[in-house]
Amino acid sequence: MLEFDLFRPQNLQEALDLLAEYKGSARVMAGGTDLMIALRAKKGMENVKYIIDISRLQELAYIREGEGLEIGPLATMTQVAESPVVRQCAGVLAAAASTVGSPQIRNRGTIGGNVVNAAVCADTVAPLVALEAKVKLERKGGSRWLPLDQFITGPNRTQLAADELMTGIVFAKLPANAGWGFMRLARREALAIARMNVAVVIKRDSQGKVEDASIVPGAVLPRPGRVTEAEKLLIGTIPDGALARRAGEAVAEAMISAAGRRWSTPYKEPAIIALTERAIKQALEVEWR
Amino acid sequence: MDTVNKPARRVDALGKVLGESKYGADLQFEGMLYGKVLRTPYPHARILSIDTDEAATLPGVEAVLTAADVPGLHTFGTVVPNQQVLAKEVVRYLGDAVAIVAAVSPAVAEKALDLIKVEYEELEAVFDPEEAMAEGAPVLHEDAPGNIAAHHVLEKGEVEEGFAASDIILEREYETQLVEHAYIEPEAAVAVPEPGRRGITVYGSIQNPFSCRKALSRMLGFKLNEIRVIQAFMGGSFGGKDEVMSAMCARASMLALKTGRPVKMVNTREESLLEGYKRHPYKLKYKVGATKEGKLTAMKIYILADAGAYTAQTPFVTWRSVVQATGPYEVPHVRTDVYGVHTNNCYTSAFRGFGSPQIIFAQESLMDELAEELGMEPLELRRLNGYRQGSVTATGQKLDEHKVSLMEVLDKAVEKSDYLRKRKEYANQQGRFRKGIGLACSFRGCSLGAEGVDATGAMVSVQYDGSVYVFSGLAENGQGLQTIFSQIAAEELGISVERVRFMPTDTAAIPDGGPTVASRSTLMGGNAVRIAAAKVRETLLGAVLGRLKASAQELDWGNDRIWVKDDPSRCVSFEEAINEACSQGELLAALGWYKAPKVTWDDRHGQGNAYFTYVYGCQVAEVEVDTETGYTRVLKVTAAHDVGRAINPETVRGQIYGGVAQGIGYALLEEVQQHEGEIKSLNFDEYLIPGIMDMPEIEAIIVENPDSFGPYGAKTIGEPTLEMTAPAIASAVAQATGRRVRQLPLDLERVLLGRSLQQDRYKRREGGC
Repeated sequence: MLEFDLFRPQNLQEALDLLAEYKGSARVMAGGTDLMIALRAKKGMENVKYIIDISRLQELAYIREGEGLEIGPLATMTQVAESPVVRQCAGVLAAAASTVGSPQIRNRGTIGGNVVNAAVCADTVAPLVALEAKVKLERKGGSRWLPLDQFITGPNRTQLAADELMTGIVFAKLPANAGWGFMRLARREALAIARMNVAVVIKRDSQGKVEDASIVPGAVLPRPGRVTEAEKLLIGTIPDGALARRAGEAVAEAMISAAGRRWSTPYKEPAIIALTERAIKQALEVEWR
Repeated sequence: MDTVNKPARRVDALGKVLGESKYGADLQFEGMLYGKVLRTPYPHARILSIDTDEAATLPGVEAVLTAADVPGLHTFGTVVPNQQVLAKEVVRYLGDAVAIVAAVSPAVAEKALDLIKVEYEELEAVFDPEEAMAEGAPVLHEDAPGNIAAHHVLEKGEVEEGFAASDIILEREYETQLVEHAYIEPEAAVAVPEPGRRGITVYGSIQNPFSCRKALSRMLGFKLNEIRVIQAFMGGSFGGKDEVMSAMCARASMLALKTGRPVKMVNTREESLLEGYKRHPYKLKYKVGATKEGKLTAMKIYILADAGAYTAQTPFVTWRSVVQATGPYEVPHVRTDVYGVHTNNCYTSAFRGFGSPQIIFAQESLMDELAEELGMEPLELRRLNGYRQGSVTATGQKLDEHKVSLMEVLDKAVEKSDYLRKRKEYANQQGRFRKGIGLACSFRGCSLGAEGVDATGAMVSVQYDGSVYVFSGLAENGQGLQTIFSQIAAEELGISVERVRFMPTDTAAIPDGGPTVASRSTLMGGNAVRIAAAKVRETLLGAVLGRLKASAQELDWGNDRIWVKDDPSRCVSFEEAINEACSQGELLAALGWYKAPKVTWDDRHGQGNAYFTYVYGCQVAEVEVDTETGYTRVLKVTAAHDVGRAINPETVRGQIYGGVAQGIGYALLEEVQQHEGEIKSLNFDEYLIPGIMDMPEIEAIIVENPDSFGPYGAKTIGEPTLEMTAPAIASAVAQATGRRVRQLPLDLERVLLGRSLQQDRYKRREGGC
């Protein structure tokens, strides 16, 4: 039986105070869509004595334009998916958020929770890495910024200290010459965890030559990151379908070199090649079916 | 007909959608305690000792019981009573219970479970049916040598002669998976001791109240009349709330009798998936011979079904398989062997279809494979060999007492789905996304057949204000029985459905009419209601003869009135007729009892008239496959089913939509992950069933060929609807990809690679996705 005390801080300062006091014996709850499952499964909850429910901290539920785009960790998947500014300036993230779970889960689940939980299949992580997002971590009396791909260190592992709270996600808006693609594969149409996903952002010059590319697969590498070998294939070219496929093959090679040949590799290898090729074509706005 | 064959609104719908209907877990009683179950951590082990002292002294704990406390016998079961309500000496699967606790709250009960100390000696376990049959394998039950829970044989003709006469022989192996019913409501029951005298009343999510009562009688040591089982509203069952509910009700009852207080037990979803029985996984070897023209000459079939730890309904499930294993095709020479085999896996028992979805997947896949070898259109092969009026089945039964409508359902499904044109169109495709279309058909014996005694009853009781009770021995499990029975009662009495109130199934209110299974309710129970209502109507007619100055033959009835056929102005209202009858002291209630027509069975050769009537169906599935990922979407299912007569066309369509949805899950998604007896997928985040987004357009075609035995000609619809969806989809996928998958489900890996990767995962002990 799990027994714990529940705190509901009314503002950020209260939340940081509680974290400073209870540190490792406390767990933060935002939307609860991952935590409730972990509580039910009693997984990794042995030392948890306190739950700090931050879902009432409206000050962390923002989506706003500054120098770039700033998203509060308590912005829900629905908010992110439906936000006009996210759709316009970071469509790859809106697309990913719209695929998570079901309407009920998207109404509860938050982008901060998705990132901090750091599941390998987290749908918003790949696009955020492709957008080169940074995250703000605050503790009582201090804060720091980390690039997202450094923040997540492995499956369900991050650099978040026990007394820290993620309070912001920031990235540059995509310029007009950028195209994006997001592909996701799951076992059914909705309410299914991604087997794999891939986010692609491609910037091209006026001739259509690729200036820059971000290719980030999800549930493929032990920690999220760009596959530079794949990106390099595209940069400086006007890519065709064959090149997109080769980039996909480079992602598959990166997967195998990082994780070895596992039980799932015979399936994931051909599938990630196809998904990557399609995401690249989607980013290039060519037919991928 | 005024009411029957019309789309009446479901009589139980409003309370359900308004949240007013009370399900098992909603029930509350004064002083009620909460029961919880401690289960074994080993799939096969000897219990050395159980120490409950510490748990029993925990504040708030009112009782802790083990097998030693069972008042009657600690086992139960319909065929072979070897299932344990509480494990006595040996546990045989991970769902086996070793102790139960009643406490003032579920939390205290759960805490008490942690304080029970059980010492086990692990025993060698076996998880594969083939290994379980081999010499030297651990034997689970002494009275089942070789772990054989059931073996059915069928011999027709001389199978080797049939193969000798064939031009082509095909041998194929198919495999189906372990599947969960996935009813939306997990198991729940409340047992209430009778105050002042020996007796217990149990309410709950109970599919078969009479089966439950019989099991309780054995385990509690109570007479049948000391036990009353009342069904609560049901959140689905699909065959799944039989043995598991008998066990739960017995445990709740023991705790209630021990404490003298009501005890509620509710399974979590995880407990439900862990303990509840599933659909049998089958391994099927088919050998078929045919002439080059496509005429079937012989079929040899060998099937292994994993029965898991206990016998439950395995002998009946596998019996339906042996009867129907050749499909609706004339095969002169047949040899079939079906074995149900014990293992230390989760036990398997009844599940909508009951031994048919497995064999239909194999036999219909085989027909398509044979057609391909012969260069024939699969439809033509079926037309050439399919049952027609007077055909003789593999069991030697001549089909001449009902309309054999296989060709009619085939034709209708094929025409509506545009099967032949699409089949040609999809034959040559380029691109990553490819479409395919496939069909499957079946014949299905209605009701219990030679499984056992087949009779049931209902009572219709007309009250003096014009309202009517209907009591039935069969139960509403979500299928729409209340509505169907209310319609039939209304039709026979000539009144509106609104006057009829269906009473919860209560073992103290009506004679035992057998279980609500085998798609038998409309056919069997419908007849019983019809008989009961007609008896009351005859009494009413008799009571008004003097007033209307007419003989009974001259009267007609309907729309809440009785009138003289030749002079409708001479009429009485339903209420006036009741008043007349009451003033004459007539009884306005009647018990209807219907006995099924005779069936026969010779167990040694598997020959006989297995069922008294059959239904026929055909489904066509259209799919689109992503050939680079294996992702398969069903685009459309066309389903033609002969139901005899649709008592309510809307509930028939509902059955078809629901059955096809379940069939799609069986085809593409559903597979209980079980490794060394341990169920890995314990909730619906991992055990995936189709959602609304996965559902295609379903075109339901109701075919009506009234049956001479059925009420108004009605037969069966519940089970046939899901049994042929998977093979239709499998053949559609085979057309799309050019490769046939012979294992269910056709998940991403099987469609892309032709095999599942799960076993590699367990072998390599790797996690991840």
